[in-house]
Amino acid sequence: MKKETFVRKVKLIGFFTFIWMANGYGQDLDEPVRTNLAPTTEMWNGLYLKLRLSDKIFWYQENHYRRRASADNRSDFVGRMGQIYNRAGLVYLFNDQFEVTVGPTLVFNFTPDPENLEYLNSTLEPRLWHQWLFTQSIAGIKILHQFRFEHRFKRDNLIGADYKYTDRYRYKFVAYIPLNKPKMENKTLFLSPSNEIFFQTGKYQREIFEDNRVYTAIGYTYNNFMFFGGHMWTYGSTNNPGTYANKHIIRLNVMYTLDFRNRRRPVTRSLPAL
Amino acid sequence: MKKLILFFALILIGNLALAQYQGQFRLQYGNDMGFSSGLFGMNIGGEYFPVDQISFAPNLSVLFPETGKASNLHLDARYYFTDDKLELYALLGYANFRRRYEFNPEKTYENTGTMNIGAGVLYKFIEELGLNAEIKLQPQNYNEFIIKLGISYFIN
Repeated sequence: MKKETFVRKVKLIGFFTFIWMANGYGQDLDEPVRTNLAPTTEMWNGLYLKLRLSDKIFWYQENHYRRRASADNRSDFVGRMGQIYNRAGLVYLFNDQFEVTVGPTLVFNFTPDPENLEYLNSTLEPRLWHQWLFTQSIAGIKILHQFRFEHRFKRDNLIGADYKYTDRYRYKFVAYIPLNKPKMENKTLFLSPSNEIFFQTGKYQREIFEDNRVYTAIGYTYNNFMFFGGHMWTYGSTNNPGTYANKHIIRLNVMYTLDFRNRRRPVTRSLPAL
Repeated sequence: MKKLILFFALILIGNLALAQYQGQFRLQYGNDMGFSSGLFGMNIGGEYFPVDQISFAPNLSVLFPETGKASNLHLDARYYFTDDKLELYALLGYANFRRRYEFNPEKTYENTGTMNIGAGVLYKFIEELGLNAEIKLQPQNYNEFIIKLGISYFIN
């Protein structure tokens, strides 16, 4: 072996050894430590309203009553108050496959520790939200692609905590699979699997991934009502970097829809001529 | 001066000939801002016309101070001057401002009653919906001057 070739090989071996060591040491130093908290439980109860005001415009509303497990019993579902969640919006129907909703949200976030006087019992979290909903139907299965954006002003329950502004980006894929009818209609028993992923950004936000929610619901449509409920598993980041929480949530929901288009009384706006 | 009186009399007669609101209900949502307190809020309310041109419009603002909580309950009467697409009104009413502090050692709670004086405009862009802009003065609440922008739904 020529001397030059030998030197070149030694250099190459030295270079790759350096890269390997640097990479190895780097991993030791920078490897993020991921901590998964033990699962907890919650129960969410929701009322959904969708009122058709005109051919193109709907009123949309959600009101949720959410409980969460006690601090000392992670599996009791309802031990502490969680949130009261109010969301409303006006929907504009562009066509049968696409609609946009814009509106306000007001959330009451309750204290994580009711015994601790350093926490306020509840704080308010106002939001502006808008949603871009695409609907398609495949072989009687209704599929929704829901893009939802929320602009949130949120604070901790600790006394004196500052409001922080964050943006939230959500995408949900949900299917409505009729079980006793060829398509979704009145008196349909249905299965509804969905997955929703949440991202967040903001000045104070280190982790862009916020949450992922896998929800399987079973439901029944009856006239203007839709009753649905099921189990949801969530996995998401917490305020502590590298620490992730997961929850098992029971959800019980009622949706009520009403068409106001034929219910408006004609209003006479002029008196008889004088 | 006579011409001026005649002019306003004609407008009034014209309005009476146009307006017939009695029995109407409306719902409204808006956002308001108080310029004395600097408080921004969400406002929700209803409106009912017991007689033509005059309505009772109770509404509540949930305000968002940096710390603590605040709200403003308004009980207003409105007089409408015009009908059709553009509705102009004046309002007079009573308001109850509530403020709960987190840090103030002298007082943790404030409850102030005040008079509301103001005016507004409602632009009906479709049969069911209108855009609403309103200004309001509260002389007993540190001369609070409130601007509200909102949307109204005409129920019937």
